[in-house]
Amino acid sequence: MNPRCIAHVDMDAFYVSVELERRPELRGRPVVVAGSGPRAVVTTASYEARKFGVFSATPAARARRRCPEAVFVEPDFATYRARSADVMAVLREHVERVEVMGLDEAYLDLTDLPQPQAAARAVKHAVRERTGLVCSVGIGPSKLVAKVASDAGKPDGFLVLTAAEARARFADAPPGCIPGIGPKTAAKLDRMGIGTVAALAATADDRLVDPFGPRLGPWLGALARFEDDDPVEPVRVAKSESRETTFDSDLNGLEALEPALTALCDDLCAALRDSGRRGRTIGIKIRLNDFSTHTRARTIEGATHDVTVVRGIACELLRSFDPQRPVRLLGVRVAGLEDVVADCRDRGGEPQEQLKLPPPMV
Amino acid sequence: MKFTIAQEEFLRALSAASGVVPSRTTLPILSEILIETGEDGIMLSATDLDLSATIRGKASVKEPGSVTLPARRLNELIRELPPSPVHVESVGEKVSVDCDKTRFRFFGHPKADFPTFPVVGFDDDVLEIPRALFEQLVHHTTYAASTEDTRPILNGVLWEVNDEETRMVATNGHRLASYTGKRAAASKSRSNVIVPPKALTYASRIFEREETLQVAFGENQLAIRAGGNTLYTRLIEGPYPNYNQVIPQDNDKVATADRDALIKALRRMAVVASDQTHRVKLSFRESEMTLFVSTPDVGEANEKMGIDYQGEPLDIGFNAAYLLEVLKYVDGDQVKLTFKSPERAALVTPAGGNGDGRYLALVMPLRLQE
Repeated sequence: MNPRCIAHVDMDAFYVSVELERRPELRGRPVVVAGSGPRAVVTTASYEARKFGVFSATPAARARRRCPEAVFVEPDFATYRARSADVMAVLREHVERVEVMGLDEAYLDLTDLPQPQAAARAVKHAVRERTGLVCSVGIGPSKLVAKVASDAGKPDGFLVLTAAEARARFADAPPGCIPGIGPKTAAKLDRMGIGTVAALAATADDRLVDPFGPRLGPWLGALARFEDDDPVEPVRVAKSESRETTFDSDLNGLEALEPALTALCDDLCAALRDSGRRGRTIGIKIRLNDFSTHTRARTIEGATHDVTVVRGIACELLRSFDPQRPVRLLGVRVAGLEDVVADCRDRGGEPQEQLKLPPPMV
Repeated sequence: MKFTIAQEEFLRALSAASGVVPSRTTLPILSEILIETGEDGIMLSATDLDLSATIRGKASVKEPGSVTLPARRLNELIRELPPSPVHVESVGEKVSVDCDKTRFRFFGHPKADFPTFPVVGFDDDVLEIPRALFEQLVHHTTYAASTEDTRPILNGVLWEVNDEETRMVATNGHRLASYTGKRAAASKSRSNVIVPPKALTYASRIFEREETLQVAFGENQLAIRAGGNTLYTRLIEGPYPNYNQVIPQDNDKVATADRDALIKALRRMAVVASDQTHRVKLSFRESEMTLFVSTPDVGEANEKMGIDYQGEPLDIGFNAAYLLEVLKYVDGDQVKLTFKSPERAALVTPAGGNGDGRYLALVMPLRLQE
């Protein structure tokens, strides 16, 4: 078997780039895509804005203080989704095995291609040709190395790293720079005196088992050594779909909450209907003003995307929870999704609507 | 290499060859066309590695040679030229194209960079088939082949040739189409191959001027040749499942309907049908059929239609899209539909004479929801 060759394609400042297509006069200026509410956070900042310390997840209010001359744009996710679909289509045209991660990144499995690096260059070129959008591409023997490579090359990067090169390059960097190691883990490592990727890589597994557990501990060590055999999985079937909203100011009482919940149900069911999916578990999520988060769910007999059913159950769940404090965030989720179209084909044991020709044909 | 060719002839041959050029590929050479000089003209070759074709164009050759050029650009250029002689000359990989007052310079690649074509001998065991029959076979069946990746064999069309008959069969597991014609010329060739539908539809397009096609069967390749043009296609490895076993022999309920009227009624019903299942219900009673649709969130509809029906009353559900598709290829004004039960395959055939060939289609029902 060939050694694996994985590419990570990461769109550069994706939301901002899409906005700049519509408003080219903003090119070169600090542009920040962020909601307008008091609790909004930055979703993407242009590279010009990043110089002022404005990054993804910076609270919008802080971003305004740090970079008053930035142009603030409201996010338009419908357009981002459409442009993302354009990009992913280009990727799929070139490479068979594509694992889409969110709207602006994807892993490509180039292992079996005759000239993987040339193919990756062709993909990068084609994305720009066909969509006008710029991406950074990282190539490595694993998803992990490919991802750090794409990140290290940004913007408009093309970087090929072996695992050894990645280890050398990030040896002195803090462990938090490795995807999968979050701030809490990084802080805990730091308290243990492990402040660099190299230090983490050299730490014996047993030292990590105690604070992080028998699975997570050794896994962190492997990450630092850039050992990763996670396969590129083209089909990531969504098991659930959800919608949630954080209110500009906290809502009090069922009368105020129910219309908000109904609107979320409508939006969610429309999306499920469009993609031909139904689910059996309907759940709600409530975050109170003390930041406590509560979820309630109910599973029904047959899968649905019927808005009246989803609304009915979501509102019942909300009424029985009856929040006793002001509500900060409300969400609705439909889980246990099945694909209606696929259901006409074969789904182990489920009754099929479209009958098949008898054996030996199928 | 140096030759002169009429713009119309160049465009015809280029368009035909371009049909094979993959619209996207990770192997850049595949987006080029190989131009070679031959005895009385030029040969244009293109391949996507599964399907390859060589198309002949009449030209006056001054110096023999070969070169590859980008297919899409060359095609666009020749299309835009005036109907005058086109002079093509290559020195190494530099190619000049002159026509009237226009002069173009292109960069190509040497022939050695172009993939070599499969070798299929036409020396012995060649099947000769009238083009008209080949087209009928292809037209009536390729639409039914599966486009899912789950079972590669069903992505192909079975092509059977025996002493008396030739037949193509295709299915996606929910509906099946088959067309049988009389074996015309007597040759010893017999076959049982599974052909990608793209190759078949491409063949029925490029051989539009020829009377008879020659077909040669290689190890895992099939070649079709006529009028100096040759096509090679990879075959899908078999065996194809025994479709004869699923063709119902005991369907005892027989409906005969006006084909166009049925198609129109189904199209009207399909408007209200579910986008996912396209479910319509057909209720057969003596001398009358009623079509019903009821889709939650959308609406409902029904339509009555006079037909000839013999057998017990029957309610049966179908994916309207599948039914419309098989009806589209029924020749003649009247269509015969036979049934056994709401869970068994319906058999669809032309009701009147069948012309020279025999078309039959199977459609599996959709389970009716109570």
